Amino acid sequence: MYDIPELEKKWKKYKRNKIKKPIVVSTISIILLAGVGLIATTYLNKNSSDNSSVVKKSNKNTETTSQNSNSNTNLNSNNNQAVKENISKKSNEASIVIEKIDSKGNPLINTKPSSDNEEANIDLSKAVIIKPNVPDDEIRVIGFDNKNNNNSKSDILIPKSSTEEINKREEIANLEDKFKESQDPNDSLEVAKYYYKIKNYKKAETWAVNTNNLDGDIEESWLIFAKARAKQGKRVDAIKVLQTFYDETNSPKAKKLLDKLRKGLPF
Amino acid sequence: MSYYDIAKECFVDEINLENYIELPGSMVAYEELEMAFDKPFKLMLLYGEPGTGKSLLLSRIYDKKKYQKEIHYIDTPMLDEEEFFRKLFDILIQKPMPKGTKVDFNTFVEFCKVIKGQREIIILLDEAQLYPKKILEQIRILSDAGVLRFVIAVHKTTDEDIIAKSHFQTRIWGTIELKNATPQELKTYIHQKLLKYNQFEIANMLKQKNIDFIYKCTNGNFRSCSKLMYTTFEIYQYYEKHDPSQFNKDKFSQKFLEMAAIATGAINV
Repeated sequence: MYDIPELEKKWKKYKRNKIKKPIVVSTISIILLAGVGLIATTYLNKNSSDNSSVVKKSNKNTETTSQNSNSNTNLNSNNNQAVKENISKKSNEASIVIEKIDSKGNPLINTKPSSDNEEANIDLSKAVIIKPNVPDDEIRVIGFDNKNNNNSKSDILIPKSSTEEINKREEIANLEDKFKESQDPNDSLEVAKYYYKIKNYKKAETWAVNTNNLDGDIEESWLIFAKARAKQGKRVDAIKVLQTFYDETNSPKAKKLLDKLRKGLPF
Repeated sequence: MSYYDIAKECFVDEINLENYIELPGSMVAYEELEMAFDKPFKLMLLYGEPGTGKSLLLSRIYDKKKYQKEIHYIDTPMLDEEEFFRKLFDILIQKPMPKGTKVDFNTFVEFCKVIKGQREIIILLDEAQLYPKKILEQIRILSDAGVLRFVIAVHKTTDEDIIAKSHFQTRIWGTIELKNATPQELKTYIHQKLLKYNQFEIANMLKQKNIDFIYKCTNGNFRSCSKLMYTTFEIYQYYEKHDPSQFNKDKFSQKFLEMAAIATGAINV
């Protein structure tokens, strides 16, 4: 037997080290990032102050010559524009402001609408729905329930498989409603099977339980319950339940699934 | 017996065929070996790291085939030539060697030639890396005689030495490697071990986080995993007796698992 108090001391040390490591790593990362940031800022400051001196120099030059020559005035304007397009350092502010200006010297603003605005501006009346490149029997058209309306462009074409899904979902919703009154285990089994198929294991489990509560002899329902339970990571529970069922019924399917669950094989 | 006593027993490091857990990896190895028995091999090499289940595989196949084939399982290595001859005598003559008798090795070889075609004997040799070179050489000569067929199990770290010997290399009919478990296999292994002893509650308490930690510490090695689990339940036992407030009975203690990992050297502090 180990010296447990001593072991616990070691464990505490281990935990401390475990906590220390990420702190040290993040501290070093922060320091490194701060260092990089500082260097970058210094570099930018240096560049902008160089530019400012160029501006001052250029302004001085142009001031002396602007009175005499139009071409020099243009040059002055061009210089200003070029400099403004780069970086203008405000003497009383520490931060650097970068702004673009148009040819008239006005600052440019982002004229592109935001995504919200974009959505608002979509003119749905002009939208054209293009028929997908699949045979007609593969798609279903939903839209206005007006067969005389030849304007097929206003209809929405969706793949048939999607409509089948929709139909099935509607059918299951109806079955769920029906079950509330009928309490028919066949209905609940159908619902459980559907949910298992679409990988909604929680619901599949619930409906399988409903079925089992009404009729405990339906093998398929027990199998769905066990599989759904196992798929939710409760493999041990699934084995327990299935073992009980198997003990009572000797069902070969239950045995097969039980073996797979025990061996950790896919099912 | 306390709750954790039983859980501890699940992970005792012993070859117990009743507790054999069928995992995809070991099943494949078993089937390969089983298939090889029907082929005319002289030597089969079974190798893997310590704790990957070589001995368990050999004892299982011996147990399954002992009534169908003339098969012998030598689990402890024989370091002495005389002891090896005595065992050979026992296998070939089917009688214990009389006291004070000495048999020349060539006599065994000649005897093998006489019974060739009448008998086919499979010898499962565990821990073969521990056999002296001379005995390994004798095994090779005996296998050439065509009566004795050997399955030799060696640790992966030393198999290269044996395979490298050219005289062995040409006679090895096939090799089977046993590997450490995958994370999923390890999870199944732990659960199955607990379930064999009806430890449903503990099996349920083990969360993926715990399994991941175990896998990290053991690299999927069955023996290391059993050792870690065994020690964890030993720690449970201690606290159950001395300070039960230290753990929650509804939750598997990651702390105890980590303490066990420290105790077994799986993690260094």
